[in-house]
Amino acid sequence: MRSYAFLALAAAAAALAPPDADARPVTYPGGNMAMVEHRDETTMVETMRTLTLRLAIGWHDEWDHEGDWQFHGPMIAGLAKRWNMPDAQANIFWMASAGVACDDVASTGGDAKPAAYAGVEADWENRRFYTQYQAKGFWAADIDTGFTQRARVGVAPYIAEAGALHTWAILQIDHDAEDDHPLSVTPVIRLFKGGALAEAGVSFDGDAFASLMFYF
Amino acid sequence: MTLFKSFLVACTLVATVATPAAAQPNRAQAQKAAPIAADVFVSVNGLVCDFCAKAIEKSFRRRAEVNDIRVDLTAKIVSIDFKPNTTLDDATITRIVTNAGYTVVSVRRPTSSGNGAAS
Repeated sequence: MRSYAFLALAAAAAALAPPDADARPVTYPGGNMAMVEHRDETTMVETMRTLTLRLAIGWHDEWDHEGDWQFHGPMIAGLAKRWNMPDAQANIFWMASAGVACDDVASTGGDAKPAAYAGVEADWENRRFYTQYQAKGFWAADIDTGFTQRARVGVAPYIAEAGALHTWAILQIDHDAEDDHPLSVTPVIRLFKGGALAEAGVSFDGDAFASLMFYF
Repeated sequence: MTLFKSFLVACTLVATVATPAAAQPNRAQAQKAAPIAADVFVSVNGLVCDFCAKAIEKSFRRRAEVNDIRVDLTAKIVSIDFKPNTTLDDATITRIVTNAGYTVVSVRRPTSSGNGAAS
């Protein structure tokens, strides 16, 4: 059932995004990003609009199906530092959100509590290799607190020019001390073209991962 | 684990079928990557992906003076063609690229209307 819900969310995001859509928390002034991601028991939907080179605002929704709670709130993201090199680029981003979390949604209809999260992300990539690290802390009064990390390394099997289909093979490592599988390793295939990015993978534990992202 | 094996099979299919096909530029891609009769060639640092190209293209296409633009990710060159009797000076070009998040190395004008390198 959750898979159907994810597909419905993905279809909605795809339908809302214009055909020339583009993706990253902070893109370029006037740029927009919409994404939906599902991993194991968590589904996340995020929309962002970049206001300046270093600042973007948006909205974040997250559903934890296993813990039966959800989070909704406005978010802000920033580009702390960028290094533009002749053949590579590196970035440090930060992001934060404050909103409400509702627990026991299935049994009681949800009891809203204040909640917030904050995180940092760093990446480095050239046209052949890609690396990323993300750390995020989450707090929801009387519901849940947590700290998650994600690291990625990727390689492009071929070098694609602008406008062509770009393909990446990525190894993703997720760490969540409170999860059934605290350390999860997931091979991921990424395809992107023309501002639309799709990723899919299955962890060695059998957990599905998929995301769709649009930049426009 | 069955799901994981299915994913590996799917990845193998993508690698053997889709990847070689994608590596060969089709007619539309070849046309898009083809050089244009540009008025300005801008050498830019940080161009590593399709999203970078899109950011640059969209930033320049907002300007009424721009007729066409191409981003060559291999050469790291942005080629800009202006509409007749219009242009953008080097400082404006540099500002647009910088505001999009990238670094201008040089601005080169093959015709005599140039006003020098930006940096």
